[in-house]
Amino acid sequence: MWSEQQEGAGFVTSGNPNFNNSSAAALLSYDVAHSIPWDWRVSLYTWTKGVATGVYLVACLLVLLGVVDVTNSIWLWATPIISGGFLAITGGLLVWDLEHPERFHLIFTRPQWRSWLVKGAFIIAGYTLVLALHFIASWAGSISFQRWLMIPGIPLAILTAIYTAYLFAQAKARDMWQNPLLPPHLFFQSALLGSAVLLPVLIISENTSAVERFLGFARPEINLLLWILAITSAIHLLMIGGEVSLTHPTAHARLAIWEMVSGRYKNDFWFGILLSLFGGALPLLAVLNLISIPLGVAGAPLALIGLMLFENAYVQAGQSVPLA
Amino acid sequence: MMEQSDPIQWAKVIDHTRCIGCHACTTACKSENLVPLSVTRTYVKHVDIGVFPQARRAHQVTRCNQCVHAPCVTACPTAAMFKRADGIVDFDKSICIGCKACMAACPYDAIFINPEDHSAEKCNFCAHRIDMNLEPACVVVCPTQAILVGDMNDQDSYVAQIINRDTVAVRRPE
Repeated sequence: MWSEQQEGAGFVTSGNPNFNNSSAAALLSYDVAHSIPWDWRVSLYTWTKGVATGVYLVACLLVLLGVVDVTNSIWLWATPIISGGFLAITGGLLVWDLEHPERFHLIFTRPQWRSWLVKGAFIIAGYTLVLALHFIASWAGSISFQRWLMIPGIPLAILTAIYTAYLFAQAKARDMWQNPLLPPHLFFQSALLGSAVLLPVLIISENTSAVERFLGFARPEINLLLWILAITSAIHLLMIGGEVSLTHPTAHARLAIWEMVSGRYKNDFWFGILLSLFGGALPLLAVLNLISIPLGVAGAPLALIGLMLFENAYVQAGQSVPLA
Repeated sequence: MMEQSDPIQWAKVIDHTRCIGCHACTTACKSENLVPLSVTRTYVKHVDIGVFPQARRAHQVTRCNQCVHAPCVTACPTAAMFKRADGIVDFDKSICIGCKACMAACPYDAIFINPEDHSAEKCNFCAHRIDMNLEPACVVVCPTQAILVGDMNDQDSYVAQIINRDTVAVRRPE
């Protein structure tokens, strides 16, 4: 019955989510609510994937700039273990989200190559191989092979970070996801997450005295990570600002943005923005010597949580406008 | 010399001005395809327009539109959603992994996960009936002939005549 139709977070409710905004608007008398295809697991997967790729990409940058030595345990061990771990969680979330997880292998055994889900699965598999070889090389005592692995590793990590934009764009009627700037946005989100994770890891893992940590002795690698976190947070916020302030060409995109900013996902969105703001501002103030380094590093968890909340708002809002 | 006929291209024309909102198509589809409760392959949406006494109710028969360039087919990672040579967008439940990419890609919210077998499904034109030269269940049961099925390449078919003669529209051309 109409009075018994499904409601709640998992459903796209009927009609215009912005309610009737015209006296000439038709009144919906009967409709059927639809399940939102991708729930929180897909939102979280974009975040875990960002960590998995960002840690590797930022670590590569530190090594290529000579800020971190190739013998550093961050590069040898922390990078493949953290990236690999988060990539495993990413895969676990993807399989968990399937209605037939036992058929997961069909993606590899009978791929339909136009699907970005297939392309993404093979890209992730390739990136997993790079991380596994990186770990094995470290275990075998090599310090040079990991540098060579960067040649396939960096492009594979970037592709892993951004392919989701193409996956979302295949949902052609979800207008908010047809954003040509989503691939670079995902790339910067990945760098943001990578620097935010590596900051505390670098401080904890290195043989630094507690006093040095407390006083915030600014080592170059810490400074660089703080800069990356501050800059990527600023880019992230600017791109969101452009997304929500520019008038979108279709009613569907406008409604999806409304759902994200003012509708059912507004709490995640605004808390996410607020935390990202602090997550970027604290590192910036620290590198400008306006606050202590430990306080700047405290921005890292805020940035991580902020992006997680924003991802949920963005992924869910894209599916929140009824199409039927 | 015999003229080679064009291949069959099935099309469905829905005349919403004829629809009376009886939901016979909804129930016939559920019965024919054993569609469980809580999900539908087709249903009728109602909207009220105007203010009494100048009010009327409009109906929309809502279902898969068998897109020519179906986004669900492109998005499906295992080709469980596929397009037949005769234009029907069909599905193979035995290879559906339940990733819901087709649901996200559908421009009509017309695909759902069957809560009993956990695979994606939608209106497939009653392909099993079409293949036996039977009309889809919704077409048979519609009391006002608001739902019509025919071969677009057969100029004698009623559907082809409507498409070529009257004003018709695709709701969301891909």
